[in-house]
Amino acid sequence: MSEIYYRVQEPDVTFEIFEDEIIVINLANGRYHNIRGSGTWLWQALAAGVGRSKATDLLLAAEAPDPDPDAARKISEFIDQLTAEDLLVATPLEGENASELPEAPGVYTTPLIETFTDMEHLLAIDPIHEVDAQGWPSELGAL
Amino acid sequence: MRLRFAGTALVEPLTRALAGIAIEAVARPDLTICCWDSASTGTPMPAPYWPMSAYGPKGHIIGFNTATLHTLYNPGIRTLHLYDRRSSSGQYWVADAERIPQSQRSAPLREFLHWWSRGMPLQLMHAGAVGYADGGVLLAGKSGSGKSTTALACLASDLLFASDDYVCVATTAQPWVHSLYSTAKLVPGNLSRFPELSGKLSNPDRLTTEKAMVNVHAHFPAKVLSGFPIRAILLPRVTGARDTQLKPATAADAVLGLAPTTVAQLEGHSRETFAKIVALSGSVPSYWLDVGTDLTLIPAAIRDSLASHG
Repeated sequence: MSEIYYRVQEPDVTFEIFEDEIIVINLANGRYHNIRGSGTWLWQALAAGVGRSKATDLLLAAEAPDPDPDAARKISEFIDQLTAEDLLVATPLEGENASELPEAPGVYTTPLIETFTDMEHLLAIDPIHEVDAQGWPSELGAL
Repeated sequence: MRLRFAGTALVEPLTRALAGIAIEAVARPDLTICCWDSASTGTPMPAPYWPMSAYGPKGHIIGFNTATLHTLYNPGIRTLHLYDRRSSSGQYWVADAERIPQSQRSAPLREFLHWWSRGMPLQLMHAGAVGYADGGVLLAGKSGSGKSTTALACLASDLLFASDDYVCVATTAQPWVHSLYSTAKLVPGNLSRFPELSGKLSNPDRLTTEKAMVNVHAHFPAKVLSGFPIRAILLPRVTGARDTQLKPATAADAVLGLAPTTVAQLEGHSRETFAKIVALSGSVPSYWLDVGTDLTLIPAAIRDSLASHG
């Protein structure tokens, strides 16, 4: 099976790595996300160019005090969420960025992403219903 | 900042909230904004230079936002913001001054201040601020989190008010908050908890459609502070408990409290805005402020946070 590589969806997506979580904002749609657990390592690995299968295998091989038989599925779903939210996009370019590669994944904990949508409405395009004599649009009743 | 008006219709709605930082005219202002409306002047806005397809999110005019130019149009209010970075000058137009919404009357012209501060260690942030001249706290969180309740509860204490909603933060080694707008807004249903605000509302006839608005600078001049060093970021959240408590928060919590709402509300250079908020959040401690129902206990909790980081 061929490997899949990803890159961060720049310039729309910006993020910051904290001690045990990552905050990611998609500036294009106002959705923002809090990544926790082993998701922080996965994000950094994928963003640094580690392929999907390799990153998954490395994480599955990590120490796990309470082994999770569903870990592979949860990792896959987590990565799918990153792409569904347009935070990471697949890229044909292969190559790990050594300077950004995270250390070994450490202890495995379920990768989690919490998505917040409460700012989306602020980035919505205003509805336009009418146009005044000079050509300036307005919402219904604003003229 | 110098404001120039064509006529008088916009003077009151655009300057009331800025009264606390008014200064005598200077020869060379850092920023000049020309403001006018069509309804009172009888002068229509010339036709737009862009097609209908150019209207994007947040009123962004596609193709008219460049390294040196910012352009916003709001079809609901019918306002146009134009800013030229090369001359540090802006144009604010509204079709009718009567239609300026509360969000612009309580924090007028903030878009221009945001654009002007690009590339400087300054950032407008959606946050309140209370404290003393030698140090205070930023109150961060989305609308409804309790920023205004917390800031107004401090009016009955020795803590001073800098803002309940929008501030300018100097993201320097010692972060500093600058007060911009000396108005405060409160959900009308919350007014009964603040009897000292009775008779002091600037919009008593609009409470069915707006939040109650108080000009803190006008009614409590001794309680307003122009700025102070930031000692901590507090993240209010309303609880049903009587007491107010401080609980440690992380820098990530502070970023989540400050960044999404600020980035979403301010158009332009969002990545820089996010980076400045991250820098601030990493430079001072953060706490959850679990706001209790007894308003008299809120200032003590804030003083506790300052005592720990004075």
